[in-house]
Amino acid sequence: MERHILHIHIPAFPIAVARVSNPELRDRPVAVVPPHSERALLLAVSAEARREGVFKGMPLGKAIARCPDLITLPPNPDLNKKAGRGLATLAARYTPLWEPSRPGHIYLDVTGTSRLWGKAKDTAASIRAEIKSRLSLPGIVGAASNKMVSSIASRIIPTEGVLDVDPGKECSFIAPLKVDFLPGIGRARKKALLEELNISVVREIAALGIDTLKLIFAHQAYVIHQRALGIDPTPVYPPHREPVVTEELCLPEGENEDQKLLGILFKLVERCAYRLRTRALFPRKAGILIRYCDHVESRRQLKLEYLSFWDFDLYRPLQTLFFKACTRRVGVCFIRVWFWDFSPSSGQLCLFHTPLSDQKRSYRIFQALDRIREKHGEEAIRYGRVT
Amino acid sequence: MEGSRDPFSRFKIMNEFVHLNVRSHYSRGWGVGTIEELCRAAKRHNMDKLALTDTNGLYGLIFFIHAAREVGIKPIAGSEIETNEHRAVLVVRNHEGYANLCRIISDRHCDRDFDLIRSLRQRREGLIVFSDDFTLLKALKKEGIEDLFVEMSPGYNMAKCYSFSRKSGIPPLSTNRVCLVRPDQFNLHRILRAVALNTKLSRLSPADTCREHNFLNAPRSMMDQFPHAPMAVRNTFEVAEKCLTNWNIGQLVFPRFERMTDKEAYDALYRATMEGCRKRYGKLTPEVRKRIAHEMKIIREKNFAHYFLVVADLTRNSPRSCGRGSAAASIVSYALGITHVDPVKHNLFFERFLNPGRMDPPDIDVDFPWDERDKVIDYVFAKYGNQRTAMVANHNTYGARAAIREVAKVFGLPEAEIGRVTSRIGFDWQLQEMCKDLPNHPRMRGIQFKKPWDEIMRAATFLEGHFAHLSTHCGGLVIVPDEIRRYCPVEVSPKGVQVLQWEKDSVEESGLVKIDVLGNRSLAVIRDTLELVKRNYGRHIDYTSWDPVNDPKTVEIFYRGDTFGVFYFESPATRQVLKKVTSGFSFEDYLKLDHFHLNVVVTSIIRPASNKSIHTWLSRLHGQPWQPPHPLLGPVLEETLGVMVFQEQLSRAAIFLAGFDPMEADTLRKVVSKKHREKKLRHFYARFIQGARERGVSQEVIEEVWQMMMGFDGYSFCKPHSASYTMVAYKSAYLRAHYPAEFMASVISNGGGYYSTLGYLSEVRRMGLKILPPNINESEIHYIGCDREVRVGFMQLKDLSRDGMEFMVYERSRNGPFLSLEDFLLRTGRQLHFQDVRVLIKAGCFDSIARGLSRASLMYQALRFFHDSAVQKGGQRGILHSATRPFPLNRPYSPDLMLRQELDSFGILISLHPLEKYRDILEELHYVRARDLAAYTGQRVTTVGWMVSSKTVQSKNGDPMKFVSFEDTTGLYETVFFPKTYHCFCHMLSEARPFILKGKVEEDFGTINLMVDWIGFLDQHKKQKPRNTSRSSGKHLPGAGMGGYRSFPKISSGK
Repeated sequence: MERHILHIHIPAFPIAVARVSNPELRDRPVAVVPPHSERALLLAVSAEARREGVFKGMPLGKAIARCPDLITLPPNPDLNKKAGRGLATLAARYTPLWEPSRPGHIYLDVTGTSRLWGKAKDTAASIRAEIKSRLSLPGIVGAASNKMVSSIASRIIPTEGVLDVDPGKECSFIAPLKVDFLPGIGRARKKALLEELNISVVREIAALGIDTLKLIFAHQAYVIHQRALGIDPTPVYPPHREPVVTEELCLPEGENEDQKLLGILFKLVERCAYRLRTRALFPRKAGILIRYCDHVESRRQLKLEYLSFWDFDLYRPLQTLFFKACTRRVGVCFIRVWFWDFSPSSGQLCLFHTPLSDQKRSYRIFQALDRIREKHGEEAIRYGRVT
Repeated sequence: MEGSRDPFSRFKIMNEFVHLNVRSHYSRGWGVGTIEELCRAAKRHNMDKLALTDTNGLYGLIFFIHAAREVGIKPIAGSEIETNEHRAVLVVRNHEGYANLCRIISDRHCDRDFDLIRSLRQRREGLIVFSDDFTLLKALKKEGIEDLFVEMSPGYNMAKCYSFSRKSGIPPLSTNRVCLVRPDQFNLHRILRAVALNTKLSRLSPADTCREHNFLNAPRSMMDQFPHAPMAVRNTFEVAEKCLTNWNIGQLVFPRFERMTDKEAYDALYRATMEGCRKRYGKLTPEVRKRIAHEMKIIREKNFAHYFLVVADLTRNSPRSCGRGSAAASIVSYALGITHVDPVKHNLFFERFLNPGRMDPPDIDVDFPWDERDKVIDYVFAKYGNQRTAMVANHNTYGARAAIREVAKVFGLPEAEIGRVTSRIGFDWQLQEMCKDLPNHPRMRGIQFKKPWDEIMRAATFLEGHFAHLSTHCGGLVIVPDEIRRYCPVEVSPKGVQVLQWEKDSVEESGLVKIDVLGNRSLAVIRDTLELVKRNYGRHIDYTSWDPVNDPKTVEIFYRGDTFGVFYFESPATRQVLKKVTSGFSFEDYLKLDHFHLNVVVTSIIRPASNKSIHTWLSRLHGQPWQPPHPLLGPVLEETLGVMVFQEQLSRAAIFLAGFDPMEADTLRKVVSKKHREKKLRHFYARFIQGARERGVSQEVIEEVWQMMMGFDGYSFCKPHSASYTMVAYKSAYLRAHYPAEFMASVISNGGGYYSTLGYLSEVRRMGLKILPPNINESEIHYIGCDREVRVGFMQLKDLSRDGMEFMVYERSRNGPFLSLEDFLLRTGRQLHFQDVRVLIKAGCFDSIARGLSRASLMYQALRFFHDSAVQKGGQRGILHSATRPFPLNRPYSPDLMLRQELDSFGILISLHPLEKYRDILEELHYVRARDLAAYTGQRVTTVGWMVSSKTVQSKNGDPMKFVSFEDTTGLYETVFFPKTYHCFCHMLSEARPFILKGKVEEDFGTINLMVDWIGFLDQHKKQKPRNTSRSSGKHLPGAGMGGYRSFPKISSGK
């Protein structure tokens, strides 16, 4: 059966979401950036800002130097999540097989839905219209017989609209495009080599035999060749269902003082622990991601020694992880903590690990703290730490 | 026993405490205070003795002795020796102890199996040892407890140490393990520790740092910390009393030539001098004989014969050398081949080099081709051995950039952000002077110095000037007659060379006689050009006997100021002065002048001490009448038309006008150029007035001449030095005039001088020579020149491995030219990496043997070859299948891609001038070309240019301004950025982009300068044009308000 894949793309998603609630931001250069620092890096930029030479990942100070009228917004993860959920709900109405690849991007497999919604391109048009009317977001929808071509189609349109690629025309559609459009063409080695072989457009890769492509792409040659021919058999994966409890924080300025970083880490652990307790989940594994100001990331994870959702049981392993992950002097601008691989609570107490009476008292204290937070908010009570 | 002391004894002891464990910034990563700060602080506390015990070194000993004496403190030398196992502080009791300490420190650095206990057992004589290392103390106690103490320091197991002292019977001694001068320096110490340990402040453990109380506190406060152990305090005084404090430094230690006695050395030198003079002069005139006798007499009195023989021995082994400095004034140096300028003919003043009263050692600096210097140094070490030889060190201190960088890293800033600030810091900037004004400096425009930069700048200002690490001086060598480790501790450099712990000033002041073996690129240029000349035309030129001074074509080079690439004369300033000198003279008239002498003056007069007088000198040269301030000064100033140009003129003025003796006059010369000279000058001034009055000189003239002498206070040259270098310049100019292609190829091959490779290649084009691209069968590793062509060498391919290029040149010389890429790969594929072949293809090296294949096809062929070879692994490498599988896309690169790849491969554009890339913009722009500028004198013009060199100077008011050389496709022109313009545009100036310039053309003594008042980027010209009225562009384009491209009047078509 012929596949019909749609790719919904909301350009500069966090900015598009912000513009819904604040129409004054429309048609003006906008960027999303952690507040209070000129060194903070831009997380998203609008098309207007891009035209002024401002790009994602640029330090705010430099961006303002290039575009003095730049409007900056702080990240609003709650609003983005809400908008993401709205987009997902909308997508789920059209097909059960939809895949949120990253914020503002969703693949939909609408194969076999023609009797319900009409042709794929009509479905795409009605989805775009619905996104516009219900969510007030500007959407671009690419329609094709596979994920790669639909994604490329959605990248080609500069503003809102629908672009559909007829089945069987995938190869001719991508043939005149630059090689950069193909996923898997890395910037450094492969692109440089392609340039040296005078290969600049997709059709030239398609014309080469596998044997020749192996010289450039080694074991990826076959996949690249398939992609150059517009073939992408990758299925649309339904949303990842594995439960993960995660918390993260963007620091407005790079911070390299361990005490402050540990303070932030413990706060994230406490938030996760609270959520674990409310959902009665016992994580077996934990992980930490640290992003330095120069974009270098460090990720570490470990298996927890015993099952617990109490803050004081989770502090120590996460502290160990932190010191393993944070080995550079450069300031840290982002920390994420996550727990996963949950074990359901059995109610059976451990034979060898019996809680001490002190711990029992601690449990009661935490339960009391949880109640205070539920009643008065998360910031109502905080831990102090003595060294 | 202690309790029985009278009540005054306590007070007495309080004043008798002496700090015996003090670390300065020479204890890398630990000490914060400079030696001067420590000495001043000690004086403030009324101490009369102070020890300096830097960790594993005596780096600052000579400075310490001077600083301590200056403030009236007796200096005690010592060192804290630390190994992974043991620790002890050793202070020097006598000269034997000093030699032993030097040996122990040297062993600590040079001997991998160094054991402190074993070393102290062997070399404890003359040393006083104290430590809190019980194992070490127990071991040393077996040898006796004399001069052995248990160190007690607050915060370092003091109670345990005291208990050990009482049990073992080894007397206690109190110290404060000083790392700081003041307690408020503790934070700086922590930053220093974080820098040293490559960590951040929050990860420093208490053991990683000193304690907050480890500062140079008052004796009284130290006593307060030892109420239970007054003996420990009293012992500091007793130890200090025993220590050596009357240091007798400065006794000269000469090398000994081939174990000769002094008489044998003198005789050998005399014979060599006479023989050399006969070769140089033929028949010896009475004048020459007199000069020889005069010099030899002083050499014998001073016992300098060994030194001359050692230096002559070096130059004999590498004859293309050039003695520099005042040594060129000596006929002995000339006869021995150390220098090549006749001191008699050129009237060079010998007393500038040696005089009977001179107390400091003679200084013969010799230049060798830069790539032969290591060979010369190896020769010295082979001849005299590590036992007697070591190189002089450099004390590398934190400069402004390094200090900011290191501190900013500790504060967690990313490299890119640090680089943004440090890349704008000027080479000679000093944070201590300009820290407050730095954020407002025009070059810092666009950078916000907010938190944490304020803290970083504060800490960096403190850190600036602190000792960072030891490195090897480029050419300073010390040879002693017996054992080098007796005089100064040595270390081993990363290259494996033995290096003293002292830098050149300490070496000189300690009396060790050093020889400077310096590298000179121009000597290598001359050598390489002579080799190319021999190879191309079979003509051999003997370097030592070659005298091109009267060659008309050579002189014409100086006459026209065409000295690009000519040693010593190629800077824009020198070229401009050359043109000003010849302005108004015909070439024939110029030939008749003593042009060699004029050029000697030119090279000296542009130095800071005398450049104020350039215009006066030029005016007089062109006919303005002049008189010396007093007839007595006629012989001194006559050769420079009444202007003081050479160093020795200052001394000679003092001799002729005020009757100074040569030694006195030489000392005056040195004092005038020193920073804090006022105090020392008072005595000389009185002596000068008295001497001049006795000769009947009026007070007015005395004042005038004294002011003239005092104005001669900056960097300057002596005439022998300038003459010696001018001779090398004439040789360079000769080669440029007669063998331009060979000469320019050698200049570029040796890394050039004042300009970048791009600048030299442009000059090659201007000279009408053809630049040929690299070719696999024609190119060498270096650039080569022949006839009117310069061939780019493989060295210009920046990503080509050295091994790769050496192998393919070797293979080509062995088995003939390569016939095709296939042939190349079969012959060299085993030794070359694919990346090497890739670079060669991109650079077009195979174009001549491509047989119709495009570079893309060649790349495919190489890819296939290396892929197949990898697949076969160990099998028969080199079977090429490409012939059966041709690349389907055999088409040439687009012109754009060709240029991009050229830039990638060479780092610069070789096939065309970089401005030609902007031909379409230039066609629309109305501008004046460089070659036509003279026609627009007095007018405002627009020019375009690529920056090739620049020099920042200070205006009379102390504001920064800049002289910049730009070039377009027709020539080079000089521009001036006065302070106001510099302030606006300095942050834009770069050698990486093309510029549009606007300004006024001015002429001075025949030279043309553009006084710039606006610049913009040429490559942004098109982008800016439509945005000229936009708000943002107006804000970001400095000077846009002065008139954008549209509003600026079109001056000339210039085409």
